[in-house]
Amino acid sequence: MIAFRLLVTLAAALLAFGNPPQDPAATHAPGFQVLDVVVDTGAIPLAAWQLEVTVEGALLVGVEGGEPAAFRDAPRYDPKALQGDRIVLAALAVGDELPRGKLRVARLHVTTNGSSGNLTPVLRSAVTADAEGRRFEAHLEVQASGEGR
Amino acid sequence: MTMRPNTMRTRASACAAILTLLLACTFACHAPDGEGPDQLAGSGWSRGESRLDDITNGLDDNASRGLINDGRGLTGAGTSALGPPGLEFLPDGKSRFIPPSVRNIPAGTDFDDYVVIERADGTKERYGPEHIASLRAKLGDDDLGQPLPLARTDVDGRVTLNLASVTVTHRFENPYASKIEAVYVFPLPQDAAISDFVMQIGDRRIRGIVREREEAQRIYEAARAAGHRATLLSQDRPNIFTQSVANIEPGQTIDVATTYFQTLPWRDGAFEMVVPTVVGPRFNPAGSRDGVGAVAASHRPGSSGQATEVGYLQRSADAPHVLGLKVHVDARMPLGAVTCDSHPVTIERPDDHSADLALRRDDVPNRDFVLRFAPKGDGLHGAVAVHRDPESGEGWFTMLIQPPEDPAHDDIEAQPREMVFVVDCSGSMEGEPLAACKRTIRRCLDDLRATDTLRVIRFSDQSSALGPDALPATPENLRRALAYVDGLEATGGTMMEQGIRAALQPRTEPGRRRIVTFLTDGFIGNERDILRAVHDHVGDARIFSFGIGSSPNRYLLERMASLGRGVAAFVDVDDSSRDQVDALFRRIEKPALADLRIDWQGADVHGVEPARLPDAFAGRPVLVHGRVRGPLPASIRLTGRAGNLERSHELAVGEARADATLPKLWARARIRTLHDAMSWAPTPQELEDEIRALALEYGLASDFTSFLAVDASEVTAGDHGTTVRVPAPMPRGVRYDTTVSGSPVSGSR
Repeated sequence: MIAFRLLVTLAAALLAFGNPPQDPAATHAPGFQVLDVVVDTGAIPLAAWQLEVTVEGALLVGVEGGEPAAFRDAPRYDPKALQGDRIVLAALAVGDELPRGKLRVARLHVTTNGSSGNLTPVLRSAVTADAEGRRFEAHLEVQASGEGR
Repeated sequence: MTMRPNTMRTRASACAAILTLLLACTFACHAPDGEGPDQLAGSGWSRGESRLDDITNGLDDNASRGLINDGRGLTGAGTSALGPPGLEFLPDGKSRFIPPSVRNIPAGTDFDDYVVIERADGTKERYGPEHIASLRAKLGDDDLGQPLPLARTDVDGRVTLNLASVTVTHRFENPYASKIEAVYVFPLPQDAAISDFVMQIGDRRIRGIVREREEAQRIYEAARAAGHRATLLSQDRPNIFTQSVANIEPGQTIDVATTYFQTLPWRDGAFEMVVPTVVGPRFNPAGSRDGVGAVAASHRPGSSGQATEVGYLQRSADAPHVLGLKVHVDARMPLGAVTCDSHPVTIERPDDHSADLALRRDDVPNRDFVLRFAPKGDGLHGAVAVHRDPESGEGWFTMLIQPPEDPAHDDIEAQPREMVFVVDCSGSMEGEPLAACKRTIRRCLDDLRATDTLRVIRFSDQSSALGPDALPATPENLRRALAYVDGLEATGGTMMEQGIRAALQPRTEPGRRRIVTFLTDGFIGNERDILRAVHDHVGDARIFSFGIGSSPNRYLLERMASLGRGVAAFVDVDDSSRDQVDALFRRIEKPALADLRIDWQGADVHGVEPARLPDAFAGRPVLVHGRVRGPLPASIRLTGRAGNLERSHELAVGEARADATLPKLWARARIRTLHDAMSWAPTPQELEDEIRALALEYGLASDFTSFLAVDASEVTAGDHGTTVRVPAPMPRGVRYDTTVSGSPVSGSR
């Protein structure tokens, strides 16, 4: 009886050895990540912005407003663009206090199929405008924030 | 990765696009108030044989939280009502919790009436039925009755001309010691174009995304399982929605704001804005699984066996949460009367063109809110608004068509009519609704012409009639009809399909126009079966529907009338809408133009909704949505029949610019038509595909698309906790015991 138990235990151990613990990503369970939209306006107050970005392997599941009070409301998105896997966002500042400098103006909440590692957002276009509606040059990027993994 | 704007591939019109998009935003977005409500939360419970059941008490907010958070097992911990905090068992088997801040609740207090609570500091407060909550939830296997997670609903409406933008904010609070998921079934107007959905956690606002229904459900469940806060809005009927909020932590508040657009109809001298606040208890025929179940709030979820289910609280005074509401009206022209018969309101007139209206106090959400307003002058003469895509030039328009008065109209010989009255005598009509129904029929019978014939049909579990055939409208037959109507009683289910067949299937006498008037609350869960029956049998008949009660199924009644090229009117149980009923019946007498057609005078107009135009009645202008390539014509030609004569009118079209809501309103109207057609289409898959594509393109909720918002930035601790379903109060005037499954005398609801 003891020998039989040993045999079963050995067989179980071999089976376990042949099936290493599963990588959670390999199960393709949905995961959730966050991408930040950061703009550096320098000395110019920011009144409006718009961007188009694609993120392979991710689906947008929420759009959050930014840190400055003027951009706290969640940006609008173009639902038609989402059908082509493009994310088109736009926001207009509210209030009189327009922020300047390096700002997180939005946060994208996305889901992945679990197989994706670091997401690679590709910025297709971006526009920033001042209080007079004039375009101005600003540094804008979409980056993984490291939260929500 | 980074890019600089000067190196980007930007379109020349990017700034214009920003402004266009943002203009739409400004119309759509009204941030919910950040202020917390000054409200009462209720707690307490009664003891059943083996579990806690319904409850009554009025407590202050802190007290109820104290009960929840102290973690003590309260079951059986009885103390005196006049003593220190604890549990009191009452002689009728109920029990109540006395919070630390309350010293004295008078012995023998009737909790269905008013309660005066004296506080420790000697101050007294009088709590009425509008404050006393009957709130209970069962977490896990414990037997504690607890307050429910939906604290309040706030409605913020903004009306410009006849376009309304309404934001409905539900405030969910978790009063329990563990995480919960809150699920709430609630109504919205059947023609609402839901286009925005925002979850607010503290001062963070996350805008929801439209996804295919199954995909949104899958993502929501994954987010819930992973511990992310998430919310999902799914459409169960064009006027019924289910909202789920996952991973609400103890003590946390999450606001979910849903914004919709709506074109307000002009009804008998005024624009009318209706905000439904409660889903009425629906009847589902045997074998139905896709209906809307009505069960007692204490029942186990899913006990109705229907795809959608609402739990109801027994007493009309029970308030699972409170309703706050305010509306700003900007008529863009001198504003005449502004009235609200459904609720006590304050109305301020800041200037000649506008009005601010608000509920006098938070109210029980147990009836439709109805606001009417009209510009000064001699009524409505028609209007057109157009929005154009700045790049393609494609236009979306909405048009109110009001045929001019025809001086010769009164001389036109009226076509003989067969007047058919179909009365809903199911259990939900018992009492005040059936009484309102009888009053309405009596007034209609008074107005019949000698050349008319008459039929009266009743239906509940089965249908029966005054006689086998139509009767001439002689004084003797009118007396018989009145006696028949007076003797009607309400009981049983709502087999409306039988009533429809009985009304529409028999042949009509040649040369006689059949006019069918339905009188019902529309509390059924198989709307598709009903619409299919109307479509299949309506022929050349006209259908007028009278929605009876404080919160009728307006979706069903409007669609039945639309299929029958008639109109709907709504009759509250208190007879406050009597004048409108009389006005509608006078309209039935003679439509301004029947079999209406529009000649667009060569303009490239397409996608007109509704494709089959209703008859035009005086005081009920026809609302048309459409698309146009190039300019609209300077005028259109309306052709129709007045009596037996062909009539034609040329109407000037003054094009007024409108914002980006018009495309969404057009898409919503198109989806409504497709949705109706799915009821009778032999291959509905193509229609489903078209609805899904339209909803995704225009960002709208539909049967096949849902709004989803996930907070991916944080993971809450532990599993997703218990699902708590928020019950509904009974609609005012509707009896619990004849409509809710599990009640003492309920039928198969």
